[in-house]
Amino acid sequence: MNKFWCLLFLAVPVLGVAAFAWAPGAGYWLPRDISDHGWQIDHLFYFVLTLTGAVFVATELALFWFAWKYDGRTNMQPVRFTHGSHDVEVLWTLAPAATLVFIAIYQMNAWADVKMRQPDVPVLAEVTARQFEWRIRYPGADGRFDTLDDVHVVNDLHVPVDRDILITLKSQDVLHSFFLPNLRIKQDAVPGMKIPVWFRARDVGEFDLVCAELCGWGHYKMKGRLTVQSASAFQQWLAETAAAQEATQEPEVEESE
Amino acid sequence: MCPSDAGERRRVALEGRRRRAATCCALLWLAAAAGCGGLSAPQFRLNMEDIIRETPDKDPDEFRITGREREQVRQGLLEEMRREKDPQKIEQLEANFGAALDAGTEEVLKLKRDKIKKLKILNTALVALFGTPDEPYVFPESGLDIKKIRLAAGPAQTVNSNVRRGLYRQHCVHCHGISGDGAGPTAVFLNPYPRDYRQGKFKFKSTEFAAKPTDADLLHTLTEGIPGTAMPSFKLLPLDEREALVEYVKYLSMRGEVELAMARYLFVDEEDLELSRSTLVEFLAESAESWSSAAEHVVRPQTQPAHVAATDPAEKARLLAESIERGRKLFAGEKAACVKCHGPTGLGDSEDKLYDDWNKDKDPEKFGAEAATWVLPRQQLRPRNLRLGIYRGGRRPLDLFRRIYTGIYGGPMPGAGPSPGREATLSEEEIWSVVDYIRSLPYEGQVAVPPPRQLTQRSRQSGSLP
Ligand SMILES: [Cu+2]
Repeated sequence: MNKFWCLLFLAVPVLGVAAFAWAPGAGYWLPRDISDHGWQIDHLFYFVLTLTGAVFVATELALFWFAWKYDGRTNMQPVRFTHGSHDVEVLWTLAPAATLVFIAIYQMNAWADVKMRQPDVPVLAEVTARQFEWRIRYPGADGRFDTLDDVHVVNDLHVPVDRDILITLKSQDVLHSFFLPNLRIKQDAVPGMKIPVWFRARDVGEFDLVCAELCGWGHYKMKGRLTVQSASAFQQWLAETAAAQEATQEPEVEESE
Repeated sequence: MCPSDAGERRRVALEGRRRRAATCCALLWLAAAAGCGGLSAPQFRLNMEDIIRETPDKDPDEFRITGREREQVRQGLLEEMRREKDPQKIEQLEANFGAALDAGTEEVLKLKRDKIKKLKILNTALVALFGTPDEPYVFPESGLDIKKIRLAAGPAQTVNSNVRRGLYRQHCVHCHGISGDGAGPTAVFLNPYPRDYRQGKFKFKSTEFAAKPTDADLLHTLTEGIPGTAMPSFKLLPLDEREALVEYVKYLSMRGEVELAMARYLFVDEEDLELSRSTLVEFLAESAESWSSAAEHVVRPQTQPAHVAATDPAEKARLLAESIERGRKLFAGEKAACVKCHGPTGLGDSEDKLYDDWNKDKDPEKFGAEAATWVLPRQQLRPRNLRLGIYRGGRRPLDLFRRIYTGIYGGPMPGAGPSPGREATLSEEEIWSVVDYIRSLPYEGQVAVPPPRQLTQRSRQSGSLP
């Protein structure tokens, strides 16, 4: 094979590694993790990335080496055909299978934390996805849903910091996906199902809430905001929103944002 | 001639119907071609549906030359001859047939040419007053802010990264349409249809029945969305962008209202429109005034429900329960007559066929084959199911009060408060009670199951159940 093409094949692993080395510093990497459990997800991500990265580089280098060494124009040896090696086939079947079994067992704790070990706290809010917005409901002062004092907001999820947050996820129409990138939470919303979602946020601030399931033509605009705030600020916000919802007179000063 | 006559007439009639079916599309093309140039830059299209509906004959063919005018006149003359009993006169008519045909055709064509010319004038006037979707323009007399409108208008792509433009086409156009006609490409899939701004009728607002919404009202709709419809919330757009969109909605609405006023003047009053600044401003003034004075018509309740003022929790609960009970009686009673549409259980399941204003005229039986060409077929209105706890115009008691007090403009919901020439049907105190009752409905502790009537009827038909 032409030397030029060999070097081009060599450029694939070189540029691939270079891109991954460059991306984090340039800001193209995982969003800031503010969750308690997120490190496990990130750890699994890095683990799988390293593993697949190493295999990727090794196979690409082998490809380059074979192409370079057995150049058809310089290699005058006649071609030899073989029906393969039973031992090698056993090896390359067992090695990936063992690796996959290992990953399946290795990730069990992370899976359980995110999907099985539901915290024993009351539901903070019910999030209903619909084309193309997030309708959010808090139980209000009496702590119960489906009563007159439920607090209704749209696209504006507030949660207290450093607490176990439990949310019920619903969908009004089609499949959506409730995605909090900074909390490493992604859960499909399925019509007809009430799905619990939980997390614990460590930092206050405003973060993205986006839909991660192509749900129709307006999918791109299905964006909400997650506000993590101190428990007292959260309670105050909730009380103010609840009071505004009971208005029988126009508020004195129009709210401005 | 006589034996083939019936057949020929049937053929002509059939052709007429076919012609009608093709009319709407053709008219849109005509409208586009009338005043506009190429296809590259989008143009506002003339509101031909409403213009045709406003004209006395309601005949789309009045506005286009079909190539069949001569045949129409010929048929008319034949009909005249057929009706004539006097043989002498018939002879006379026959001798004159050629000349009469020429003269009649010329007259029909002249009328149509006049109408088409007027359409062009109408379009020119509108472009002069409002510009085009890419290059909007407003007279200072409109009271609109051109800076905001420019931010919302134009193509959605940002060519020059320093200039933000095209918000309307980015967020709204696929439902509300480039002309604000509520007939964008996604509109047909929605129930209810997106609002047609050109009518100047808005449902969810704080002002009196037929008054325009305030800027705050439109901003509220944009920010909170309209639950129960396809209108989503745009809460996360920066305030200046939402305000720009509000201004653009007003701009499209004003343009539509002026268009209809001018069309009435041209085709109903059959006047000529002079393309001078003063004339144009005259047409603009009425719509501009209704928008700028909207804030003066905000409905502010003078009283509050008694239980709101009470401080003792037990007293509060007792007063609320009393108010709900009073509301229940009013809801079912003759005076408020809520049950007529919303049903005795509040499920909104009355048997009446109800329509919004923009659907009322669209009776398919009245329009025949033409109805098949409508972009948005007629849509029936469902009275609100009050047990879902979904309130389109806002869930605050104040919002519900205003809905009941003013009624819903554009829809069949009447107001219970006073309006020009009509006494109030309910006092403020009574309205507050109905509000309390309605707010209690979703939580009444009963499961809102629709009556199984339909199911059993269908089962009986199929005979599978007793
Ligand atoms: Cu979605």
